[in-house]
Amino acid sequence: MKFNICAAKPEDCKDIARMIMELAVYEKMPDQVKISYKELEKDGFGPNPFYQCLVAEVPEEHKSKDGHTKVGYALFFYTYSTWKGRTVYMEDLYVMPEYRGKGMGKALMATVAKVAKEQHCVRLQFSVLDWNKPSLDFYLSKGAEDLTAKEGWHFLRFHGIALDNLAQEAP
Amino acid sequence: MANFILRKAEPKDVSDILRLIKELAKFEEMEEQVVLTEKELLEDGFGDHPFYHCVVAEVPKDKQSVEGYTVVGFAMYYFTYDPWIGKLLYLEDFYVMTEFRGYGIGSEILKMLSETAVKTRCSGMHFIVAEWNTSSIEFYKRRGAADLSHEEGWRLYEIDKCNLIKMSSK
Repeated sequence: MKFNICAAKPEDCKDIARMIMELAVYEKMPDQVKISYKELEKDGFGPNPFYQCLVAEVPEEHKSKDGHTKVGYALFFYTYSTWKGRTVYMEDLYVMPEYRGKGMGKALMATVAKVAKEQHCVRLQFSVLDWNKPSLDFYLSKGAEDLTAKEGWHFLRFHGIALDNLAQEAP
Repeated sequence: MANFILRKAEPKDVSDILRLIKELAKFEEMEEQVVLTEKELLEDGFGDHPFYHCVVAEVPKDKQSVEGYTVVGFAMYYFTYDPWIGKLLYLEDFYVMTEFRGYGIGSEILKMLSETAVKTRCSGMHFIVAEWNTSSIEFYKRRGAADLSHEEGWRLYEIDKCNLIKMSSK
C-alpha cells in the first residue's frame, strides 16, 4: 500500500488528537488525556514549538472505514543528556490497527532517526509499557535497549497538587 | 551555613557545570559514560537554540569548597511534551556537592524548579532516578513524587547512534 510520511501541519492537529486518544485507549489510560487539538496547535505550531510531529498519510482510495487518510503519527522533541549531549525523545509512535504490517511504523521511526541525525543527536530515547509485547518486539528488532532493566532507571513525576504544594513552599 | 544563592547559569559556568556533571556521574557509577565537552555545553546551552536550561547554587568565597570552588550545586532541565496533558518540565540532572549537603540547597533548587514549572504552565515535572538510589527516591517521595515505572509499568528504552544510522539509511 502506498503511503507518505511528512511533517505535520497545523490543520493535522484534529487527526493527531484523534490518534492520540486511540493510542491512550490501547495503553488503557484514556481518562488521562486532558488536552485537545487546540492545545496541540498552539504548542506545536507557535513561535516556540514544544514538539515536532510526523504524519503517515494514505491516498483517498485507501482511506479508513471512518474516512481518514492520516493513519499514523510520531511525536518527538529534543532533550539533553549531560553525559552525551543532544538526544531525541520519541514521545508517541502510533499506526491505526488496520494499517499495520505495511511498513508505516518502521518508516515513521526511520524518519525520526533521520531528523535526529541531521540535528547531530547521539541517540533516540522513548518509553514503553512493560506489558506491551508487540511494541517491545518491534523496538528490540531495531536495536533498542531496555535501560530500566540494564541500568535500573525509574520514571518519577511531580504532578497536579504535588507540584503546586512544592512550588508554594518557595520563599 | 545559610549563605548561598541560586541563579541562572551563564556561559562562564560551563567548566563548573561539567565538573559537577562528572561528580554526579561518578556517584551513579557511570563516570566513563560522560563524553560531553565544555565546548558542546556552551554551544548547546547558550547558542541560538538552547537544548537545556541550567540553575547553579553558589556560595561566597569565604565558604568555598576544599578545592576552592564556589559553584557547589546545579540543576539542568528542559521542556518536554506529553500529548495527554501538554507541556512538562523535565529535570535531567540535579546535584549538590557532598560537603554542601544538609543546608537546604537541594530543597531550594527543587522549589525554584517547581515554581518555574507552575509559572510556565507545565502540568508536571518528570525525571528519572536509578532504582538503587534509595536516598534520592526518599527525598523525592517525601515531597510528593510518584514512581511511574512502579505504578504504571513504564520502562525507558534507547536506540544508540549506530542503530539510528542503520535505521535512517534503510
